[in-house]
Amino acid sequence: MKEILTEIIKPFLSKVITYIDTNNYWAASIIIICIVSLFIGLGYILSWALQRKKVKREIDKISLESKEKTIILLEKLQAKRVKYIEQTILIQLSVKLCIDALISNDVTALKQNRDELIDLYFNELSAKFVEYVEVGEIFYDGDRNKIIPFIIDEVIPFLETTRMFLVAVNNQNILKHLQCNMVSLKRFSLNPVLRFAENNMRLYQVLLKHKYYKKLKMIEFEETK
Amino acid sequence: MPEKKFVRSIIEVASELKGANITDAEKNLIIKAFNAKRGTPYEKAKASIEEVVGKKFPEKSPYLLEKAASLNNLQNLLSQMNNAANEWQNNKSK
Repeated sequence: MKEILTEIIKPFLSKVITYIDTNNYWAASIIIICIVSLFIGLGYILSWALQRKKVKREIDKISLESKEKTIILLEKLQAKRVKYIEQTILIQLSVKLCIDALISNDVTALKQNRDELIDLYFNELSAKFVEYVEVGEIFYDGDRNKIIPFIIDEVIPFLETTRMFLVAVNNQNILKHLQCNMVSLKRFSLNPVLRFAENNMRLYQVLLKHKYYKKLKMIEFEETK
Repeated sequence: MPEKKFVRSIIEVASELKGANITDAEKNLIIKAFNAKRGTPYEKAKASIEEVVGKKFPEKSPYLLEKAASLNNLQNLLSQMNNAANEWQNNKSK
């Protein structure tokens, strides 16, 4: 390296010495300034390249860490989703029992199964769905391109199922023959889900908002005193 | 007996998970496992189905499809329950 540099500089130095010998100081000064500038420029480019390489390495490291965190969060989201799916499968058993009791005209079994269904819906299915949405909110972290489909594919169908559940358990015939009260849902029990949806729907998404609020209206939440 | 009906429902879910009909031997095994387990009826049902069928409830498969399918099933069942309740009144008044 040293030899190469010497070879490069040598002709310039001989030129400078020639200019000095002939008292041409201006030309000598210009050549010296050019050489110094050239070295400063090269040094700057070299340090910039090294710095860039270092920054790139840091970015790659951060990106890798971020991907690892995303994978961990994704696994958590999948786990919550699995729990929620399992509940939807298991709660079907309870609904089937209610249907059987209705068909066989077994009032005692219907009362028992209806109570069990209500308990499962409120304490298991709703709770699992709320947990699923909470992790989804962290995972999507404001990425509205993914949040909106999540609202359409997950939140709205869940609200529709809740509405159908309330219609079925509050069927007038069931209430009359079992002599029991209507069941209603308190809004706060679904607050994380509703907040998530409402905070992420924009004013211009009129159709989506209309669909969402229509479902909410049909659920008829119990008023909190 | 509600317990018997419950077991029948379990068998239906088990055949759904297995993707084929449940044999009599498997039915007996599920009932035996169900009675031997502890926990809520749903925990017992889940554990006994998984044990006998030898499959786990969905974990690493197309979640959206399964969720949609199971939510649809649930909605269908709720609708059937509501219809059955409406017809119940008619049967009673006959």
